[in-house]
Amino acid sequence: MKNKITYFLMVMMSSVLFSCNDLDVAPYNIIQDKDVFGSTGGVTAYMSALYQRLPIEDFRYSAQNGFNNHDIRRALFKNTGEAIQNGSPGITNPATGYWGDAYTCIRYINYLIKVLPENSAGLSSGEIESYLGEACFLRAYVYFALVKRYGGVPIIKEVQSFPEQSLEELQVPRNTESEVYDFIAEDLDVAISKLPDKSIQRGRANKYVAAALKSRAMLFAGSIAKYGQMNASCPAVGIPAGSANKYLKSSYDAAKLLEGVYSLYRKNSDKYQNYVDLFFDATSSENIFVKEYHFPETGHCYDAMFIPHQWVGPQGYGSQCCPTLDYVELFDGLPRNASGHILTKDATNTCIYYNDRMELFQNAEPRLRATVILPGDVFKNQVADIKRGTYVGSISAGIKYTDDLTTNPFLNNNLTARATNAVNNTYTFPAGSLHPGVKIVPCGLSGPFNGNGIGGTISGFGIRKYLDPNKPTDQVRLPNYSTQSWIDIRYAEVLLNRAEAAYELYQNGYTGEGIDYQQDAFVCINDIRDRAGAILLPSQSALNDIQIIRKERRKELAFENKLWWDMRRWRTAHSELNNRLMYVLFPYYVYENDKWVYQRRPDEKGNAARLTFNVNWYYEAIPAGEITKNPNLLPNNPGY
Amino acid sequence: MKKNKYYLHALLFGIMVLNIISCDNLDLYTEPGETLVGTITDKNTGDLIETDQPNGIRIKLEEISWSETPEPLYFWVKPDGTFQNTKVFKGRYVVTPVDGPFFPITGDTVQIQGKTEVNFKVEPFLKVKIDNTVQNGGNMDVYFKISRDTPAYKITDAKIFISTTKFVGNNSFLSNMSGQILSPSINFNGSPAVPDETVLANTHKLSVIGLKGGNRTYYLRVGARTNDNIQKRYNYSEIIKIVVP
Repeated sequence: MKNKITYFLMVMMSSVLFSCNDLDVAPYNIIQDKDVFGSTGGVTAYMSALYQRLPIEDFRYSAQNGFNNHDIRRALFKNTGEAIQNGSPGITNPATGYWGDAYTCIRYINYLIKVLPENSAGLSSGEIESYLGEACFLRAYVYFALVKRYGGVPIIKEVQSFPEQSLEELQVPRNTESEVYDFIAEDLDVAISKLPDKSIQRGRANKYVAAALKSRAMLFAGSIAKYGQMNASCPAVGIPAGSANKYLKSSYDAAKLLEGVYSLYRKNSDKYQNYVDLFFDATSSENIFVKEYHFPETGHCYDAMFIPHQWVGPQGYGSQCCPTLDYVELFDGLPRNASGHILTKDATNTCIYYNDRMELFQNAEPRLRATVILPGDVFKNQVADIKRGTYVGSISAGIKYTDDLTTNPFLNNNLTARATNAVNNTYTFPAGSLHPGVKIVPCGLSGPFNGNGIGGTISGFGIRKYLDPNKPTDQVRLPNYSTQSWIDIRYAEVLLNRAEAAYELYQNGYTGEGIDYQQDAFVCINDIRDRAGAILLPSQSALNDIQIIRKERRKELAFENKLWWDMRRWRTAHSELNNRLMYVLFPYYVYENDKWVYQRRPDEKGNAARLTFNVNWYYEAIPAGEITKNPNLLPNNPGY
Repeated sequence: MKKNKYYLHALLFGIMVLNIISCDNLDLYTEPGETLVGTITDKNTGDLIETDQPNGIRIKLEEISWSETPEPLYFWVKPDGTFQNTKVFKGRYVVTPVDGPFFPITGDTVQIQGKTEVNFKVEPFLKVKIDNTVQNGGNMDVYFKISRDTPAYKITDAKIFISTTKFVGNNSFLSNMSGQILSPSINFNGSPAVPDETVLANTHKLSVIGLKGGNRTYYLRVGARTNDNIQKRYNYSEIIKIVVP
């Protein structure tokens, strides 16, 4: 027995001695840098993970849950007055503390930049250049997501390592806001010089994607320089006013690079249908940077969340965010009263009759119909049956209502009460009324009505943009069932960036390179308006107010998660949204003459739905957990 | 083996007992009991600075008894420009009023012990004074002037705030509805902007329209602000009371 063990040990030991030479090999069960960065396939897989982590504010981003979440009911556009939200009135500040994920992503990118050149034996020099450019684009994208939230953040360009580096070295203090924007510009310039003209795969960056992002980021910096303030107690935020023109020019030049490469989508001569299609056509000449989805792994639930009640799928939801009348009134082609609001009644407070609901909108700008589902318009071959109720009283003296909504006979006496649940809630004319015993359905299939967990519209409108018109109703569900692509950057935005930068330069009296900046802005705005079917600006001199460009941006980019950031960089959010109650528009059917009347009124949720933007929200607080890890991040942003 | 198990149980039980006993004495530090009170006044007139609470002036407390770079603590100043905090730990602090509508000042270093009073004299960005009001039922014209001692940044806007409570201000005001203009404002920073000299030279008029009657009481004040004001705080006039018959 003893001998046997001894032999066994001897054999074991000898084998150990022999194998010593080969002990220092890379473990076979861990993928090595040379495998990842040495082949096209490896780099593609690595890049794919980076793109997946990229902070794109898409169909999976919301004010409440941040990035990559299905629950997008509290979408960013409920904060801006574009839409109101059914379940949570008021503003949901999207300060979700996006920080750790950002620096994780930056670390992976820095790692690629460091390690790829050392392991790139299997790649051509063109590929290496292109990948390094792409990494710079991705890094700029992440830093832009940080800087627009926090102002200045620490710029980390190298891979940090612990414990090789001391804690003091790793606790990097914040750079200033302008340093971060300069770094973004630098990275994007590298990306523009190294990336190819055409993306190597759909959804990946190319030279022009980087230029488009640069036009966006530099416009932010220029606006903050012009409209923001420096703060002595927190040097990391604020951009000196003197550098406004530098950033604006940089934005303008970057946008100009895309001219002739991309163009506004104009495939269909019917402007309404064309505007609907532009969000679905994968071959659109307007798509610059697109995020794609695939069922069942990586989809979203945009349709299920926002489709009007009539078309909701088996799980319910729908109409979670509803466009406001304030937003609809931005558009051309609506009849208006003396104070500029939509025309619903005459000077004696008597309602105007419309033969059908769409008569009010018959001359509306095609872009409005393609962005918002209007009452009585057609979607998925059905009339959108939006009505607040039925007027069942006598109309011999006309239907009158005043703005004092609580004591109004229009609401309290003559109308059917608000339906309490679904649409099969019927009303029977009582004895002594005009039609005793007659039974009607007072409310519309899509609301508004007061549902228990069932969403009808609460504003009289529904979101149309991006809703898939061909999706069968049983597929309108969550999670992951919707797979239409998110167009993160489209050429219309680039044109708007260019127009805004140009007009700001013109206003600031900048005349470099002999360009007529006002003229350039005028051409861009009219290009957008022409495609949209809006009224064109008659002449260059008619473009005499920055508000014209901002209004165009609001109309064109609504429900694309852009306006919140725009209102922040313009520094107008605190004055636009100060105790503000949004307005809604309700159609009523008139039983006596088979016509329709409209009522303009404040959001029915009343005071709870008031929107107020706190001034300290111009910058998000640096998360407390990050300050604990790195006290050099102090002082925190103003007001925290 | 079985015996060992008993020992183990006994040991665990002992640890549990020790844990329970030790719970009582974990928090050895006495609760904060010192009081900090004070005022923030206009250094020229001696008037208290009218503000909001919250979203008005904050007092920043930095305790330097232990550290040169402490993490600051904040609390709000009351709307009348006074402050009081009765739960401060004894120690040495730098006390600074921040975020208010006045030129920033450096803090005072004080030993907070017992009831400690600190008074700050500041220079407000603007002064707002109501000249005259003309009431006609539920409508009211308010005439006011804006002045300042030290020219600084652009004057951006002025606004009337009306509320049914005396805590009227940018936190709490009735907003405009169709047919009513309850809290009107003037924008001096539109395109084109109104020059500061003009703003300061003129008496401004804002009209409140459509206050509901029936012996209702309202409180009104006028606020104005400038562009150097990071937190966009208003400098307010005194509050006046209105009764609409």
